[in-house]
Amino acid sequence: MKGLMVKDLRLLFSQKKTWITYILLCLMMGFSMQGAFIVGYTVMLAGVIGISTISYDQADNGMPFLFTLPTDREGYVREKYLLCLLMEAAGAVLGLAVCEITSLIKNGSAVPMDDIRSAVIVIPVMICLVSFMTPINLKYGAEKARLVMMIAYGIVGAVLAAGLVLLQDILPNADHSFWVKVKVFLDETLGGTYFWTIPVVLTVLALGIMYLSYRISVRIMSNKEF
Amino acid sequence: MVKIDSLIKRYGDFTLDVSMNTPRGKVTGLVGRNGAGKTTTIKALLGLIKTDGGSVTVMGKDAAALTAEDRKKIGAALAESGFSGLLRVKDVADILAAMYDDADRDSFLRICGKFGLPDDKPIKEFSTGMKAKLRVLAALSHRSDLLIMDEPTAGLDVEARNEILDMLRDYLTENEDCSILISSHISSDLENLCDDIYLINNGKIILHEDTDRLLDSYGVMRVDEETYGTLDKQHILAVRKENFGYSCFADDRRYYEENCPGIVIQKGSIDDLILIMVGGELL
Repeated sequence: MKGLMVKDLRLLFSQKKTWITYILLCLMMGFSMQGAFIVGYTVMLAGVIGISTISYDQADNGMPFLFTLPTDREGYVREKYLLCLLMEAAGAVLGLAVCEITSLIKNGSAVPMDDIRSAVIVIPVMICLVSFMTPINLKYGAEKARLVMMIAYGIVGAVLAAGLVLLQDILPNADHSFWVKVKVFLDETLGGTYFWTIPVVLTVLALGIMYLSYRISVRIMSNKEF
Repeated sequence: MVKIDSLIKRYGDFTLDVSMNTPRGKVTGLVGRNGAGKTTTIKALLGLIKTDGGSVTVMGKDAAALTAEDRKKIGAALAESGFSGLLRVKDVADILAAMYDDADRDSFLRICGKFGLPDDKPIKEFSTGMKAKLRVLAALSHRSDLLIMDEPTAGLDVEARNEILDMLRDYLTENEDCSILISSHISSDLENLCDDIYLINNGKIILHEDTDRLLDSYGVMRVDEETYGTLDKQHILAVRKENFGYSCFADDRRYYEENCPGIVIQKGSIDDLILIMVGGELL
């Protein structure tokens, strides 16, 4: 896996234009946005850049050669997920650094902890996004994956819209005491002693989804022929 | 080192059905026209494709079960697949050093420099010959026990082909126990390199012979139709219809020299072997 990681890092560092655009985008967002929303974007972009290494591998029929090297299908998948997690972690650190620095320059003070917590909640969502994109990229290749992703987002959007319409019908008839309990719980966890509970729980859930996605990706790669 | 026993792989109408061996310390050639099944055979023994039957054993293990550790002992160069074009030779050197225990970064860079491969230029800017040299040098970089080369010289000019073949000969001199399986449709590449040769056509092995015996004992006769009609055919493997009559490929040149004094029989070459056995009719 070490060799694959070296390969991917070399591939990523060879894309100087991507990194310059990424850094400029971070700085622009840092100066134009309030709070720590930028963290969500830096994490998402970092994850997508990590996934893009799959398309570099697939370009020019590179996969057959890759699997003559000392690796196996599962090792390849493991390295991709680890790379994406590392990229997202680096994206989070960068995003936090940029928003703190720009906040100090703009406002003369650090970003409030509430804002940082709200931004950090986006990280599990981005982990889920990578978990969704990786098996699709491995199965269909980068080109077809874009089309599949668009269709999938369309379906998810339609399901969410239908769900909201349904909730509007259900909520007026719901047991209000339950929703009161939910509100009390959220108030406690959002502002009180359990300030970091929601981000931690969501991150654990997201990592669980990522593991599921990893198993699916291993299965996809095991069935592939090159 | 490599044992393929009744390997079956089907792609639509095409069926690969081969058996072959590459002993330790020997160089085995797999020769045949484009589309004959050479690359499919090599992909099967590298575990890159699933097989529909038979067994493929590499260094005593099922090819499909080769681990990363097993693959450290194998060096492979594929015809149309290699490192990403975005990487540079110095990146490749780092990757190989991270992957193989026996790969030495500085030594790899030095050898690449010797063969005219710049270390700071993206591979996508290399010529076809430079890319082929890099693929072979990468396969030779880690003192592997088994080299698998799929058409390493395809699409190259004579000079580049000779350079690659010289690399392989030098490697063999330094690593006597190493086995090589090399496929090619360029016969002259194999004549001076291989200990034995398999001829593959339409997915089947149609001939297996020691290269020395093939070049020394086999022969080609070019005869008119009348002579062909009366010719003793017990040692003729294949014939090909020509304008003048027939080209006959025989497995015992001396038999015809001694028993058919009026017929000119020349030593066989791998080109003749392919032309007559693949393009002609097997007897």
